[in-house]
Amino acid sequence: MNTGKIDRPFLMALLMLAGIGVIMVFSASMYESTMSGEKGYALFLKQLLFVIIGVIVMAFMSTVDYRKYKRYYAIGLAISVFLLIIVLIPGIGVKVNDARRWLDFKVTTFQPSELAKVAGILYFCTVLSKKPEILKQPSPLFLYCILPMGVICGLTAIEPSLSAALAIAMGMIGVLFFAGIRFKAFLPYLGLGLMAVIGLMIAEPWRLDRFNVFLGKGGYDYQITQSLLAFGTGGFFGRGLGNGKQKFLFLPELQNDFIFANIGEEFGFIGCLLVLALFAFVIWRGFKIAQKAPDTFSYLYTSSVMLLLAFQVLVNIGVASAIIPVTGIALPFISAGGTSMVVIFAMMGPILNISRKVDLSKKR
Amino acid sequence: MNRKKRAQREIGPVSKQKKILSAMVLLSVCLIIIIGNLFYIQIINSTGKYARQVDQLVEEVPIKASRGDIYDKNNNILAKDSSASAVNVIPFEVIDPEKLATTLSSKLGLDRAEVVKQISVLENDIVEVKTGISNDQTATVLSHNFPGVTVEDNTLYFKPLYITNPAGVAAALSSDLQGSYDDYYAKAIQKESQPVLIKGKVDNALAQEIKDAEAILDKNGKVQDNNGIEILEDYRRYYTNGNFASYILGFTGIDHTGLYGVESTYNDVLKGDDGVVYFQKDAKGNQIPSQTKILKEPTQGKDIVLTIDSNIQLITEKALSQAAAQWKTKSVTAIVMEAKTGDIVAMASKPDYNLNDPFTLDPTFAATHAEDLTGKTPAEQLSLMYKNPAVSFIYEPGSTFKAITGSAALEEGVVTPDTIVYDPGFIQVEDAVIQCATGPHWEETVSDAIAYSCNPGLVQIIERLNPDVFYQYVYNFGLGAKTGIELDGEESGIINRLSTANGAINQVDYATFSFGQGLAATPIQMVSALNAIVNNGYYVNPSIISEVTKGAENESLKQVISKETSLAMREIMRKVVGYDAEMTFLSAGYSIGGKTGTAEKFINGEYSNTKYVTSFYCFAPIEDPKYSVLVVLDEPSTGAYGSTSAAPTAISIMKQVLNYNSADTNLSQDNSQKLQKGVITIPDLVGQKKDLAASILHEKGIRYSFDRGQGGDTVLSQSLPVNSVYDVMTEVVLSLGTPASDTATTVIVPELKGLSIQSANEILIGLGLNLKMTGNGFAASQTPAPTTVVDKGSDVTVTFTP
Repeated sequence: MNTGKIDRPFLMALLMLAGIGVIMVFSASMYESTMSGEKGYALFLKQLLFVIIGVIVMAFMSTVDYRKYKRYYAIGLAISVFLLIIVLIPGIGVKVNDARRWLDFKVTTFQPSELAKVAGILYFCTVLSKKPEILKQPSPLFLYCILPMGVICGLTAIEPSLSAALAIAMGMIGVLFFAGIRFKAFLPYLGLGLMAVIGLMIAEPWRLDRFNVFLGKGGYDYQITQSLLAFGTGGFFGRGLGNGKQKFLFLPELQNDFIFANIGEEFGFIGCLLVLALFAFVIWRGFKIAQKAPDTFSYLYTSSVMLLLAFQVLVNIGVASAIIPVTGIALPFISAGGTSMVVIFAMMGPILNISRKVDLSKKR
Repeated sequence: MNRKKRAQREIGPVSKQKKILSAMVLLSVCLIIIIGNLFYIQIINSTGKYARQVDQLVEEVPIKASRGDIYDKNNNILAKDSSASAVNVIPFEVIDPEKLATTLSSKLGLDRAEVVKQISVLENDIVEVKTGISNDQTATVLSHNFPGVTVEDNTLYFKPLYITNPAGVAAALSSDLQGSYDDYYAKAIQKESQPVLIKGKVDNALAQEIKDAEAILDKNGKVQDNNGIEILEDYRRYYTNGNFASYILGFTGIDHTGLYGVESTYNDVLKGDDGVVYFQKDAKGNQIPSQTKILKEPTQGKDIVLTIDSNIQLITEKALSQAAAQWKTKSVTAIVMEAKTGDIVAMASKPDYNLNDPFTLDPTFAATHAEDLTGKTPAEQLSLMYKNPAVSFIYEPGSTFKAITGSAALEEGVVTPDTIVYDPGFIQVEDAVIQCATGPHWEETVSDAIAYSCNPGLVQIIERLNPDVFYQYVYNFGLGAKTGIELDGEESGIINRLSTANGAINQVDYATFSFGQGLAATPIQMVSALNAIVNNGYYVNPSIISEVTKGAENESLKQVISKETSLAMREIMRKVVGYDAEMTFLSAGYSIGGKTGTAEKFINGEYSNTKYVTSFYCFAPIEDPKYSVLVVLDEPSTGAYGSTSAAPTAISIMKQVLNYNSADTNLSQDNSQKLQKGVITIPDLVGQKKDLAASILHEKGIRYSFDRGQGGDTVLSQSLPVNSVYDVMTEVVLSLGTPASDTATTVIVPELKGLSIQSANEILIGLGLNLKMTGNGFAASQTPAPTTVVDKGSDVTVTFTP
């Protein structure tokens, strides 16, 4: 059962995605960087650096027995909650665009919500693999699962970063789902969560506006129009790498949340399909690893991380192609990012370690 | 037990597989939706996206070709481009339209209502209003058939310029779709976001002044906005000497197209060809350097060289100004032609207009042409002023035409110069009696009949000629058809051939034709025709463009009369001068021949006995003519004859021309007033930028220096007067400063003491002041006193005493 080797197709697909990301970030950011007085390759170098750091972290973690992480489940959650609280304190948390989401560590900035994603999943996987029965009992379910989830999601949501809160919740709900929670037991909390989201929308009218725009009830959404122009002009084969025109400041945040529009413009429908296929392959492979995983913890961890990954990909692409309302979720491995890039690679580390214990070639 | 318990905790493989499978099914459905949507937006619904991207990305901008310069035959510069500003407004960015309209209309002298209209023009392009319009909603929106409202790709667009009823649109759409009435209304009346040209060719300093006046400061005192004003680079034509060769040069219009003169006829050569550059710009409007392509290089306009000699032109203009003042003419025109080539070395009319300010009616023109101008719009008045009399003024040539009658008769051999004709003071032709204005001469030779300008003598000469033959000569001399000179607005003149009921020529009309009545010609036609007579019979086409520019012409010379006839005619025209005491005196020492002409103007179907056209044609030297000069006075004061008014002016011009080019003179030395060839005249530089002034002076070879006393870079005054002759030992000093704007509302009252009523009036009108006069004679006192600063349009009361 233990082949001792990591799953190479899974790893190759990840590296390919990260490689595409580095190139696309270069293409998307070159003009804006030049215009803001930096070197055109500034963001490209930064992206490359964080990919390398991420890969090193992932490589290191793939050699650590995944069972060791179980020990840190509580402390991880506690640190996350602590960081999520202090980031809200003016003077400590860095405020950008009216949201305090970042901690400034001088060398780099850090988003506690990114850590919370991992911590939340780790905590749930550990708790539920140790005591699966709490899923069946309402009070422990609330105490051990719903309450912690509510706290970290709530803290993230009031930064405000609703999309990050949703992503954290998605990862944790994934664990609950794969651990076999009964739908009826979870339904009230789902209802509560929805009400909280609606409440936040009413509290912050701009969210409602975005939603209204999406439903065709508001005004004109510049970003989406420009994003659709990028996809539309890309056509089937795309205009070729570097030949996109929307990067000329027409589509803001092109290298971040709208990187997929740049792929659509420069590599067309074909390029979009390729990227989607790589993601699909990673997720499919991940689920296979999960299915063959040696124990409940590794099964829960791998499958819920894959679900979170899929969620982020679908939401990001859904936003860029105007299927769902605008919300800020990065495209994993591809969008420009620092800590988020390291974190997503780090999350893959244990899965690679788990894959050492799994023989996927063995037919059932 | 323990093992069993552990097994219970573990989730079974089947359960795992079921959960993973359901997750994968769910994700696959999402993936299919995503792919389907991508296929839709990238392939099916991608039409029009490319065009919309190009629309926001690409700009095609013309690269202006610079207009060629105009030089005289000695390479003195006459016209060139100088830097100026184009004042534009972006209506969308206008914050305070009332203030803006006031500033623009007052500083640029524009109609306020017109400015208001321009700065509030609506957006011509699409304005995105709302996304996510469903197909049902699209149908509803389109069902109203509002002009300027479209839905494309589920997005609602307005074209505000085409929306006729913005309130109706806003009301209908706010009820059809969600969204407030105010938002729709605001978008429906959105203003133009591209610059709208308010006025081009504006002084750079004035443009900056306007921009500064409209600056809107932010809270830190920095200029945040200029109320929508955008100053773009422009240029304008600068004519070095203003009122100089106005009718030859002409000027350019708002779009820099030549409108009159050689600016118009040689526009194609001068204008060059604009290039096109293709810019891509980013969302903030910055040009993207790597994405700029020059689609077409501009071809710069070519310089042109005229046949005009600035010095002779200056001599001519001065002589005409004198004649105009002395004879109070409506208009006076002169043409100086090189006899052998047809090159026009000078062509002038007075009054004329200032080429640097062509849209202002010249005050002298307004005074002399008051009768023609009444009841006309300002535009019609200006277009009258622009007409070049030398090629468009048609008049009865009168006695100057006798030279043509004589040439035809001598050439046909029906008379010789010594043939005797008889003049008892009149001649009876059918039922008409034709008087001799200078006789009776009794028995006289043909040559004397012409020299004395004896009408009955000429009638007897023409009666010996077959009318068919005679008319052929008239046409051969170029009358009745345009000469084809490179100037605009040329007229053909009128050559009537009236016949009686039975088809024979009307004898009375034919008889009067002999002395230049019953036909009309332009000055350029007459000088060309008469020049052919003295140029050994060769007719040369008049031309204003130097061969340097148009290339040597292989025109086959047209010989109208023989060399012998030409010689005979020249001797006759020598007598014209010789028989007249004053002309003899004026031309003493020079070999000048000529022919006078005085004709009553034909107005409203009858000959006026108060309005005349007098003219004099002369040429020199008689032995081998080099120059032909024609002077035509339109409506000189009573008592003027060709010999008394036109002849002195023409002879004066001719003498100076001969002196100027002493190599061409064939005369005694003591008459030469040492005028050097290529003499340099001082240009008018006031109001020009320092750099342009320097380049012009440099080009003319005039030494100069700047007096920077007051700061600024505009020439406020110059030490040597305009059009004065430059002495190489001196230099011109230009005082620099910042000009008071052209449209200043105040002026300084001038000193008027000792001026005649007319001069005082001209000066005051020029300054925008009104004359209130008391008394008669010359100005003795005035209020306000000289140097007082008053508003334009103020009255100045002047007392005149004899």
